[in-house]
Order: sequence, then structure tokens, then C-alpha cells
Amino acid sequence: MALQAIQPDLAALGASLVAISPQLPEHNRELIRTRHLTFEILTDRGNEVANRFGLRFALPDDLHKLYLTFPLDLEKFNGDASWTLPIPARFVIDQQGVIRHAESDPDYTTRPEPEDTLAALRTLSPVRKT
Amino acid sequence: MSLKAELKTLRTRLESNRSPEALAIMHRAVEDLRKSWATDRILRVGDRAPDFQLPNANEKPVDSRVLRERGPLVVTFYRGRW
Repeated sequence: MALQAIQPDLAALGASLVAISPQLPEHNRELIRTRHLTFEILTDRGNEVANRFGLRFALPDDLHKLYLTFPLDLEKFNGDASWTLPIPARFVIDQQGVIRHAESDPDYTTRPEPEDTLAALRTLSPVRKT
Repeated sequence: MSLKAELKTLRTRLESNRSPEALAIMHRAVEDLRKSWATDRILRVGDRAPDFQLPNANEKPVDSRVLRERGPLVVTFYRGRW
């Protein structure tokens, strides 16, 4: 993940980073090992947290059937039969729990620019605890 | 890996050797989502972020409130690495 590259900048700004997806922890362990990730990647079964951020959607039937032919069995991969996914998104949340920056795009082949995330963080003045 | 290189890899993995019919279904699903009401529900700047407690890769719980006490929190949602 390109996010790994901005980890030192995030640390310098006193910020934490977590990535959330519905995939099972065993797949996240694989990802951490092969990509040498140092931030937390969390499992959101059934996309329940994604739903609270307004991101959960159900796959249309034709896409569901198509994925099974790939074969891509989301039910097995995510340990959940809902065939839902999150709309890819990134949020910067301040220490009071208020969203200060939000980006999302249903196109799974795009990603928010890490630099935009850093710019949003620089506008906050974190209370550094040492 | 740079963001650009990563996205190229992602696109290749998901979309190479797919029939035109398959690609049409995949791309239509993205466009339908973009045009639908679905994106109106997404939380915006100024909204209160829901707190959460979710298992990490080692199945240990991670609590957003604990992370927020230390500083600002960046949360990225992604579909998975398939």
C-alpha cells in the first residue's frame, strides 16, 4: 500500500493510521507480511462499521455472479455471506472525534492521494502526548 | 510501491484477461454506484465519526477511542486485496 510510504510523516504529525476492510484477519496477516506494513489493518465483518460511515453497499446480482466465475468467493474471503463491500474512502478524524477531511470514490482502481491526507492533518494542531 | 504503480497492479490483477462482457458488468457497477443515492449517505466533514472496536491482523481488538487520545486518526476503507 502506498500509505506505508507516508507512515513517517503521519508519525511526525502525531497521527495514527488504520485500514479497514471486510476481509478476514488471515488475509490481513498475509498482506502485512508480504508488504511489510507497520500500520494496523482491521477486519470489519459484514461491513458494519463501514455502514455507520455510510459506505456499505450490496453488490448487484450480475457482479455477484461474475465474481463467482473468476473465481472470487467473497463469502469465503470475508467470512460473511452478505456480499456487501465498502465504497473506498478515507477520513481524517480529529481528537474530538469530528471528521475534518473526507474522500471517497466508488471506482476501486483510484485511491485518495496520500499528500491530500497529510495536508488535512497539517491543518490540525494535535496535542502531542509524550 | 508508488500509488501509481500500485493502482496499475490492481487494475491488471482484477481486469486482465476478462471478457468485454465481464468488464462491462464491473464498470457499470461502479458507474451505477456513482450515480445512485448510495453516496449521499457517506459522512462528511464536520460530522461526528462513529467510534469502533475491530480486530487487527492478529485478532487483537483495536479501539478508535484509544487511538484518538494519542492524536488525529486517519481511517482508510478498502475492499480487500483480491
